[in-house]
Amino acid sequence: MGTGVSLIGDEARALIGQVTFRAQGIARLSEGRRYAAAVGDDNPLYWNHRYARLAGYRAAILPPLFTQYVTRNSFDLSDIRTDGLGMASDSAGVPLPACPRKMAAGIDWHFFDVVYDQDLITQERVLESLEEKSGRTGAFVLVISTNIYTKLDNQLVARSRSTVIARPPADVAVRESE
Amino acid sequence: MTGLFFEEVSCGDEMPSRLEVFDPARLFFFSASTFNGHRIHYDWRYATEIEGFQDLVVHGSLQAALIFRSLTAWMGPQGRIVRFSTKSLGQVLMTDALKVSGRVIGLGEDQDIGLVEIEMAAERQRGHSSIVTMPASAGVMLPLKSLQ
Repeated sequence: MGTGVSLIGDEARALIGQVTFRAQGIARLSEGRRYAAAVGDDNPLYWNHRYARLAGYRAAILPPLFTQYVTRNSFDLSDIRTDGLGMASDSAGVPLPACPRKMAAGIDWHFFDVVYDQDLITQERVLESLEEKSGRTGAFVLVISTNIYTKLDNQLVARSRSTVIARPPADVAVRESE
Repeated sequence: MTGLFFEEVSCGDEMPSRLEVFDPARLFFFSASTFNGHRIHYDWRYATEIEGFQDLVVHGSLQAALIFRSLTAWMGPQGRIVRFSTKSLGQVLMTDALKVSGRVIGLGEDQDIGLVEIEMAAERQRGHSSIVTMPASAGVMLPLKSLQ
């Protein structure tokens, strides 16, 4: 790195292999439908109970990708950063104060079960690795985490592996690339 | 109820492509439905003057959702997506159009179910240039007509 100072502190390194975030939420079909509407997704499985039953489900289901938002926590308005994100959504639960700018780089999903209205969903995120890299626009950190989503009785709903790019503030990145 | 059966699918089959366009209301509603307060998606002044983008930024998660929607629309209600992967390679701005497409690249059978591998992409259309901003892949289970 240009400055010779690691972007990853000891506190963050100590979290590798640990649970960095755990949350529960009750799935609500109305919220899943708002998501589907915002996407422009008129899949009848989300909108029509009878249609869903004919397809083999017991009722209308929530959009599978909406699973990740069922457990999204609310936060105090005073905790919102200038970029509009809440502190709770920062760094995928990993303290990286030198890298406040985050960008999702990719995600791999495996789906095992569907989510119905009123299902209680538990999300557990484990930090898999932190990798410091240097690119054209400066240094950054790759944050790789695994998320497990379960219903009651630990019934597996989905597993995802996400990669987030964490970058220093823009002015720092410019300085480091000089 | 209509939907694809495994026997109706061949390697190389193309999914119908879709062209998506965006406006501030669409980006706002997606932000709201996912409880995403990031200003780059709805605050034009913040996105351009503070973050340096040329316009509002389309969520990567919205691109992924649009790819997913194309997939479910193609396979119908009896198919099941068991695996879905996306990779973000570039920014899409509100004024860009996004072409979503896909094709079948592999087939297999496992007992009473058909397995289909699909390669997909979201392609940014800006002026006369186009670039894949989000390649994706999926594994789908389709019912066998022979077992119906």
